[in-house]
Amino acid sequence: MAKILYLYYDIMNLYGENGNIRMIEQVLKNRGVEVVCDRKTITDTDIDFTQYDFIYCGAGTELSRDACLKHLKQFGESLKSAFENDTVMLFTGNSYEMLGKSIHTASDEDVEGLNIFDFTVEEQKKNRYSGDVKLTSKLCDKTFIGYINKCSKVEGIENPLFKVEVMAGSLHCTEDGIRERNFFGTQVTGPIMVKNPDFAEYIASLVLA
Amino acid sequence: MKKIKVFFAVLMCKCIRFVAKLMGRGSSLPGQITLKFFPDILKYIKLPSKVIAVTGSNGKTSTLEMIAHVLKSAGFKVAYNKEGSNQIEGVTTFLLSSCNLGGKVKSDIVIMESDERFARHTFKHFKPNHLIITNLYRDQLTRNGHPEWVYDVISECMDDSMELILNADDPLVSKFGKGRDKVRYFGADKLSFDEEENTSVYHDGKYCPCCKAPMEYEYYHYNHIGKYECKKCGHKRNDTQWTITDASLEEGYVVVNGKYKIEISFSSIYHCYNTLAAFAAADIAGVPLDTAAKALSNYDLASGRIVDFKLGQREGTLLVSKHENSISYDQSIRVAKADKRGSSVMIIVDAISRKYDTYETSWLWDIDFEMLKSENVKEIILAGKYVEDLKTRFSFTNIDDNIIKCFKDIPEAAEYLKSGDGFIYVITCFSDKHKLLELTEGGKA
Repeated sequence: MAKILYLYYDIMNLYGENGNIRMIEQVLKNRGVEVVCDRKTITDTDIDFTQYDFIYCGAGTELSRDACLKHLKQFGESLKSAFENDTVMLFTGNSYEMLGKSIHTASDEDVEGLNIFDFTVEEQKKNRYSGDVKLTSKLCDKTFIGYINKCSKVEGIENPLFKVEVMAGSLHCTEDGIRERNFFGTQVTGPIMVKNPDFAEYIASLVLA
Repeated sequence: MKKIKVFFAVLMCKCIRFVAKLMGRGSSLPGQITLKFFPDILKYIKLPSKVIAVTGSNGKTSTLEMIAHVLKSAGFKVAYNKEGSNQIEGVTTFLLSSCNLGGKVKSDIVIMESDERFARHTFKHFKPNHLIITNLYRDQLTRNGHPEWVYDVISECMDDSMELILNADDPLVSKFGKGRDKVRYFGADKLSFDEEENTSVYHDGKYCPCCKAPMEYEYYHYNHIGKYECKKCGHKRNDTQWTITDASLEEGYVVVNGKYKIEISFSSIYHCYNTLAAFAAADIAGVPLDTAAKALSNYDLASGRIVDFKLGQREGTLLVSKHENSISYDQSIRVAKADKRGSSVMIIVDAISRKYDTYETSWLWDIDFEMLKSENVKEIILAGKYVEDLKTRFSFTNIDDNIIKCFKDIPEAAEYLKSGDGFIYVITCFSDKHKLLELTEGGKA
């Protein structure tokens, strides 16, 4: 049995993120695994991250992300232990920004992150960086496709998840996301596992390992 | 100096417009060129005393068309961007084209739609007296970021002189009215077809757009549009000046303010809101309300949001929706599934945008395709270049595989449809609609 958590399912769901959780459930079921999926959100007061085999969180608006970070702080230690125990986690869009040192928001506030990673985030409200991307990764020789929709720059990541090969729209970046232990963070918004079924299979293998 | 500048700018715009029209070019080019030479020209235009603008995610073009129709029937001389060019270039074209060479707009009233992202540029040098905001949805996020981002962008065009006319039932739109003196609202009272739960794939009103505390809803008209209240910060649906007090989608009418009955030609709650916004605009412009209601009654939109056609022996209706806009799809799906005759429903996604390059399909996961599991839906036809993406999306609904047929090629799908019977609904974007309509009889592409 695999126990998975869809974190902030009803608020960090900018654009079709539900596809990711549907996809991973499907892939695990196809492998004959029974799946139990919990959904937790900012009104929940009892989250124990260490009891899950897989944790997913999607992108949200900047205000939603701020609200979630505020809520998530009370469970920071639990999330950190899950990370240190190699729990598989996928945080897409701006959700992974919560796990860094700090976020400088577009309204000029400095918000402290969960301090699990050392990176810092700088947001602004003049430009939206948005467009389709083609990515490659050290994970495998496949090309990944996706879509990024952000207003931030992240500094201080040693192990990016993706190399950005092709980008469209108003994007300017060469690398994307973060990979540490079994934590996968990417600015890619939307159902990345649906668009890249191999990625879903890869995550499923890690979950079952 | 100013006079000479205006004279040349107007002359230039009119000449280019004349040539552009002959060459079949769009209505934004003349404004675009004129703005290169006279970037602040809109500052010097003498506008009539009433200028009403419409912005928001959905319904701008339809609403504007209805406002223009009502005002014209009431005898007003109206200048408006009827070709739908709604960025600063298109607005410049239609305003300068409506001017005399002294830079005075020759109409009693100016109405315009403005692209929500460009309102801050368009309304830099002049402000409309009234700004109507229809709704804010997830719409073309590839360009627009997200609704709260668009909210911030629109608010940059506002000043205290402007009166806002807001959709009270949309919590994000009504946030514009917080702490503001010059604001009035339109919206719908509780209606017979309202729902107590939001059953859509997502719920963008679940948390207060002001403080992110959970929002309480008394009822939903559709998606996150309804009667809401945040118990934490007090953000709630405001009282409305223009109100749909009764409506029936089956019989096709709305009643405004308890006494103005307007027959609607297209049974969608969407259309009810656009009609209401047009009614509000007519009131602001000084049209007697009886006249407004009469003019709006049974008005058929020229912009073709619904198109009837015949395919072989079968009759059908194409419901123009917008790719990258899940609520517009949800609305169309509701129309199709409500038809008790039982029908085939065709979904076409062939080119996601004709304006910019994108292969983005996240929005398919925000559409409530699950609604198509209904005894009124006999068969589902998926077609176009993105048929595989549609197929994957449908594999996650609990709709029986056997009623789903997939075609990459649209003519092939059309041939297949000809061989069947019953009514057909086609749901697709205006950028893809001609690909089916050109294969039909009577459907104007």
